[in-house]
Amino acid sequence: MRGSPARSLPSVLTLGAKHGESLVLAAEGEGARAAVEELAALVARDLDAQE
Amino acid sequence: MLTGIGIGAGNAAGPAARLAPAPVLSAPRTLASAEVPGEAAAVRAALREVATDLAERAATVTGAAAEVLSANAMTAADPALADRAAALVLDGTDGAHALTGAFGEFRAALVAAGGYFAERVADLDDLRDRSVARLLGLPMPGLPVPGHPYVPVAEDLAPADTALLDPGEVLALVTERGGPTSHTSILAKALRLPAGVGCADAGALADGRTVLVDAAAGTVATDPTPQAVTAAAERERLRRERAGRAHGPGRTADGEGVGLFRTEFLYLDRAEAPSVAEQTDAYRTVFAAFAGRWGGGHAHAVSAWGATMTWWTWTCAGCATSWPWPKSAASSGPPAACT
Repeated sequence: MRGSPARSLPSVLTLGAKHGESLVLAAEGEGARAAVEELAALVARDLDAQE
Repeated sequence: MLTGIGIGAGNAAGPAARLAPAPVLSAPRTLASAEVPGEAAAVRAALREVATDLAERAATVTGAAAEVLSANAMTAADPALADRAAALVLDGTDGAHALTGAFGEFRAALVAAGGYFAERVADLDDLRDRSVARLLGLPMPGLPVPGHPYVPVAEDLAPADTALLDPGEVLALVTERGGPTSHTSILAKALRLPAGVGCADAGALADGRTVLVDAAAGTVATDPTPQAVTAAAERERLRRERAGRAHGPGRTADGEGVGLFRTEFLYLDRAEAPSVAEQTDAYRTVFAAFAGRWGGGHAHAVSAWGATMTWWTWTCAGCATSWPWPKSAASSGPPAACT
């Protein structure tokens, strides 16, 4: 498994995560749980789909 | 008078504004230790200023251009990128090469990831060029922001440039390179701008010089007389008036037509491209449904292909009826309701 800091857009891109691959999101500090849940929900839906 | 390949329709005149070329790096230099702190600060400042500049421009536009600019601003402001460039400076690398090195590492990783990721290297290259230009005090590469309508003049337009073109500010396009199917030409047609591409001598055009781009003639006149500009504007007015009179649905001479065959839907919703055999099978299924139908009755067009490849939507070109058509019914052809 490879990791990258989520605050760095190019680092996240260079993970090269492709369709169907699993991501593990981690955060610490105040509001960490809510932040991770929100991000997970975002990743779980089809981002290319028409809203 | 410059001669090239005319693209699009009509003509337009306006002041030329050049897209500055990417900065060319001189040989790398090893920094003296006393220079290091200042150079590291300058590198960070260059990235910050590029990010601020892009974010400010993003706020002035909407749609795709705003999204591209915002994403690029976010990348330029990336702490990992700045830290890496600063680390290279601490090792004694001069700022321009440190920036190039830091961007280069992210670039290599994106290229290695391939596909859609690799296409993003154009954005990184643009940010690298902007940061280096800012650091060295060179003209900012990319689209100019003259603050008035203008005719961009470039060696060629990069995809990133074309996404950011403001159709309200751009009167026509002139490029030194490119041909009828190049990116610039496709954009010119989409925006209905007259363009002269492949104008080999366009490199000599100075900023602010008036050019008259005539798409039909494939010419770019430099310093046209006011009379020539007025006459061209009148031709353009008449052309638009004629174009405005043509309306109503389009039709082919024999009244038959098949809509766009949206083969790209085969590629959606999956990680790997469909195999040749799979594509052949899918196309054959569609074409089989048209067997014997080319000469009479209402032609049917596949207007949408379900991303999961389990259904299509058919639209009748004759009476515009649409209905979903399950793949399981492929062998029986489209419903006979209006054939």
